[in-house]
Amino acid sequence: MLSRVANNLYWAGRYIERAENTARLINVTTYLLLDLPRQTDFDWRPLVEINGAEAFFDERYPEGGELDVMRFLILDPLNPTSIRQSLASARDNLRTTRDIVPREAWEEINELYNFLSGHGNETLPRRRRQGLLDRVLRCGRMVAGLLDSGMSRDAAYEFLQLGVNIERADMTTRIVDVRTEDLLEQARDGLPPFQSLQWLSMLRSLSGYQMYRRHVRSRVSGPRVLGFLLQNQAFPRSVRFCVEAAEKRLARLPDGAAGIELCRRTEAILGEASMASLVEHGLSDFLDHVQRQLIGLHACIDATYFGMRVEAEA
Amino acid sequence: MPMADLSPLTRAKPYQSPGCYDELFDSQGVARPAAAELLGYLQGWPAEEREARRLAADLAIQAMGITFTVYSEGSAIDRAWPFDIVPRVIDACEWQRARTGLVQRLTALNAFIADIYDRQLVVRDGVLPRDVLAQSMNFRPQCVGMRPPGDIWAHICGSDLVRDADGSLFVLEDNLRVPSGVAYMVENRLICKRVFPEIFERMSILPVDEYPSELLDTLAQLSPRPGETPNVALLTPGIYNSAYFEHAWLAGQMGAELVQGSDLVVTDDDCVYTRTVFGLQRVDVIYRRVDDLFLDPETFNRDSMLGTPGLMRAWLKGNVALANAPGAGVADDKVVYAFVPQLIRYYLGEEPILPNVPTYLCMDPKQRDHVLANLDQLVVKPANESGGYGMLVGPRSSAEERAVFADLIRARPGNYIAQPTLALSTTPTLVDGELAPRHVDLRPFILAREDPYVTMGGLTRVALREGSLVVNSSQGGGSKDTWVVE
Repeated sequence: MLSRVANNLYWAGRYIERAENTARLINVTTYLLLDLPRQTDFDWRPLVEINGAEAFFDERYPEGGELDVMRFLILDPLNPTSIRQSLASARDNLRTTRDIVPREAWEEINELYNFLSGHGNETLPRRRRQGLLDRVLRCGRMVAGLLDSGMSRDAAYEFLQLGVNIERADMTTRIVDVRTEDLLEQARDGLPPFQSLQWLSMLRSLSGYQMYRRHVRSRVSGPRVLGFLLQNQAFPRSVRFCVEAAEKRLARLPDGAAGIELCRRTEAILGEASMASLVEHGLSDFLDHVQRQLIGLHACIDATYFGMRVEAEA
Repeated sequence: MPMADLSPLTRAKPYQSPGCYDELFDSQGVARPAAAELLGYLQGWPAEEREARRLAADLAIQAMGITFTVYSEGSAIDRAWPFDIVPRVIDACEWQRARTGLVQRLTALNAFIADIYDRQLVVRDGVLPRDVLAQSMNFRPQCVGMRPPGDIWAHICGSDLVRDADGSLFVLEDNLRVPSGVAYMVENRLICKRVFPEIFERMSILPVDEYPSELLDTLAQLSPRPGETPNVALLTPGIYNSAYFEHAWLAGQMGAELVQGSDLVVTDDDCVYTRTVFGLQRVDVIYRRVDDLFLDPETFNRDSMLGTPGLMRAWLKGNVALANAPGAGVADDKVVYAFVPQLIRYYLGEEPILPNVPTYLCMDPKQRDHVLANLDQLVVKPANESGGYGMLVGPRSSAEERAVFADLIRARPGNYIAQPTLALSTTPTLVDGELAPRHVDLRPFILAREDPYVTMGGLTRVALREGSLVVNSSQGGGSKDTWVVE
């Protein structure tokens, strides 16, 4: 397995997952809006903040209305994390590995990318946006299925899925971070009925509502939702689950020891945290801490497997 | 008017080649023997049936993902491979003679390259003027003194064959650098089998699909570590190269690693390694599809992002085999081309089996005068360009263009050759459900080794526009399956 190919597969996994997560996030935020009372001043900005792209966004869209946010997140060719650009990057990466990844997976992504490039603008208004985002999610599920059933379980597969795991863990922390910021503020201002609505929306954005209900058979509460999304070891979108999955993959690859150690440390940090006290204070710092762990894990993988070219060129 | 001999019930629209040699019909409009069975089917069908088969081929191409890459508007686009379903048929006896001629030619060219980087006897003996070598852009001084395994420099050659009006085969050029098209040759056959299964049952069509394993054998023999299973890699410029499909295809078919320059590293032991997630792995043979000048920034183009620093060093030490060898392009030059018949006589003591297209050398004063007096009837080509760049096509040129070329030729006579405008042969091609004549050439692939190999037929390229002689896929050209029939 060439390092370049491994690197391409890893990033293909990340881009595919990123496109899907961005769609989930927009989708559920749009739904939430319909449920909130009319006078609530709804802010689309947190969606931009999730990827830390506020400055770039303000520069490109001084007005900053809903459609601008949508264009930025879904279509903007200059925003590297827009759905369209994530798909473009995934597509380019899979092109160079066309002998390894099932061709149908590339075709799915290519088709969606072409659709967004050709008809994206027409689908931005709320009435049609839903259909578009559902299509992105379906594409993501389709590709996941094609990879699951069509790819040999060798190093190529592990690298691609490693990208998926790390991106998913990262996106979950970002979604929790941004959505709790205003939730916790509201808790202080006292908006109880809508507060639980927003916790629910967070679960839904991660397709976690149904599974949450099965695991937690009581009222929706902040600490329980947080615990489910950060610490649960059975739900595939929880941060802990993703990190454990990454650890298992590293154990199947050569020279995985350093990465495994980082995974275990992150799992311990997640496992030992008390959600009840984090809701009171320090959640944002805690999430930053977890994100830094994930960045460290990425850097470790990069240096172990993809970094050889840097070393030789230096 | 002569036309195909058919019963009135199945009579198709008359087929008439525009005064050229036709591959499938003789001058009386009667099917040539090797093509009779095929034409019986094709002309027996109503137009709707032929169209249905064409659609089936289009679907197969899409489903099989056969593409070529066009680079435009800053992004690479995969286009479906343009394909015509009507095969071009060659009689096996005729092909046998052509194969012998192609092997003879490549053997002489390899002897020539080896001589050029050794003692240059061909120049000393006055067969090739020293000036030709002096102005060659593909001569690599870095290769002087090198002795690659078996003294073979050009392992893979794609020669372009054309016919003139009486049907004789001529060699139009020899591509010794990075000839492409072989993947399409094999894929075209797979499409044809899907589209005409019943014809394959009835006819004895010689197979073409062994090429990748023959190529792998050829490459494996070059390994500097005999006795061990050689690691073979295919070096590609990357996804933006128009032949990337073929690179990925060949690598997949041979089970070779598809690498880019940045995947390779030459370490202090002057050996080449791939960078893998398991560490460095030694490479023995590189089938490179990257031009000489981009192979190694230490030796050639310093700005090349496609190459690997130190690759030439490893090759000169004999630690890795490169196919084709750097510098092999010295024989892939339009002026050297004019001398190939003499080279065959000089190195092999044989008469050329396949003739050259008559070629005038502008470096010779008498020939130059002839060229200058007949610019309106000749094709003028510069020595070192390929892909049709910098050419003058006399019959379609304006008086100003001819004046410009006359000046160019007088200024640098050694850089130009001229050839008569060829009446390329035609072959029936499906146009709106009917058979219509279109011009074709043929690119067979030859592998140089102890027991040389020649593909069964080759890639037939066809100019899909009526009357056009341009067969390049980027300019409205397509391809056909080529049947060598016993």
